[in-house]
Amino acid sequence: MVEAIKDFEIEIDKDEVCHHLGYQKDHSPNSSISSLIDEEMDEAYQLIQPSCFYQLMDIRGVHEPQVILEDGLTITSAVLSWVLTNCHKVSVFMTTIGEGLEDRVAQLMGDGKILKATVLDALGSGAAEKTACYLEERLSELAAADGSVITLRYSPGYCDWDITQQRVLFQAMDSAPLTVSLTEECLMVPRKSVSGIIGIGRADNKIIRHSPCRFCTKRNCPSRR
Amino acid sequence: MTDDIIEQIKQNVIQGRMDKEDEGFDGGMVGQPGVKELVQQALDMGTDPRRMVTEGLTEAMSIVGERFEAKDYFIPDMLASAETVGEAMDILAPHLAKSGMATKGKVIMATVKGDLHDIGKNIVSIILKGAGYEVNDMGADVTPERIVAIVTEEKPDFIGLSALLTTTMMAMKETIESLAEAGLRDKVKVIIGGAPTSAEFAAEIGADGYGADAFQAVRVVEELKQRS
Repeated sequence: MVEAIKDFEIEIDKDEVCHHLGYQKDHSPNSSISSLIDEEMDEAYQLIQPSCFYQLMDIRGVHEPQVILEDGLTITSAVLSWVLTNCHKVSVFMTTIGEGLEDRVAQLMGDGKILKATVLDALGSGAAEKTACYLEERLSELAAADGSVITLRYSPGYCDWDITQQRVLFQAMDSAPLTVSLTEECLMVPRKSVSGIIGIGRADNKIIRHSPCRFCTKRNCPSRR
Repeated sequence: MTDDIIEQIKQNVIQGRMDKEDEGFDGGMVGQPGVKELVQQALDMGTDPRRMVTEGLTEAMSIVGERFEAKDYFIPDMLASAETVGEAMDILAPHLAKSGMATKGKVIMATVKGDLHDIGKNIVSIILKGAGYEVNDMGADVTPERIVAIVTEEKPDFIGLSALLTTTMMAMKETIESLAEAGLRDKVKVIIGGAPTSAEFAAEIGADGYGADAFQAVRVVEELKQRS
């Protein structure tokens, strides 16, 4: 059964927003841009409606590069096969901040206010990330109550997991009244949404939390963990 | 006096100051006229609008571009500067039309079929405008058929195509093939950009150029213009 979590608050991380705006580690915005980010942060909080959907599913088998879930749903990724080898369950999830912020960004763009629109869009990305983190924390608590731990979070497009596998995630949750939909090109609408999978395994298994990045040769990958 | 006010316009574009309310990137400039007020003042003084564009706005954006590449400026800084140029161009447009000043070329911008991401494309559009190009932005999810139609009708010099997903970047190839089928491929230069694309991908699909960011896109357009 798909579970929904709504009516919760998240805190947008300004540093993360600056990162989305292209600022690198040793750089921060000048006071004029910093004030604008603060102003738009207030607006962002008015516009977002964070919500999460997840479904717990048993793992039926792992045969690299495939992970077979209940109902025969198949995840195809060598990296995920490795990650989920020590897990007995997964949580398929979708999180979103809704359409309000995106609509406002489009309106600002239409009015030629590209700076404000870009800053607000980056705040939306920050909010979408925090919404996914919120779900991750709830799932971690849920797993802990059962003597289990969770893996890191993976979304289609990460590592070798093809973005077209979004279709498998949406199929897994197709019985639920989701507020997120998928286009033919596997783009989620609203765009400020995160979908993915989190593995759940026994707490005494020490490698559950390990990142597969340590085996990866893409040293400059922006998503390296 | 004319030189002074053009220099002031230039400095205020570099500071991203739209009007007197703005503090500027270096701070402490509230109360001093910004680009909006200075352009109007310059017009009132009878300053040649063409000089305001070439020696004020375009030169300023070229400096903004250098600072962006040197990582002194970041995306919001360049957008604040570009917005002042957009505002100045709106004020100057009727005067430039009277003076018969031509743009550097016409660019059609589009996010390709199936893709709804348009921020990157919008940033490239505003920077191209700031560099003196006429830009017609067709928005997102633009089919190859619509691009063929607009190229036939408007005869642009360049098309800029954007995509953010590996699932949609192949629509760039489809667009280029449609232009070729319509006999238009040699009439227009195609440049591409967006996170999953690269110079190699541009070459593979037969595009004329690739821009990793907005200022690189302008540079590629300028190079292609010189070569043609």
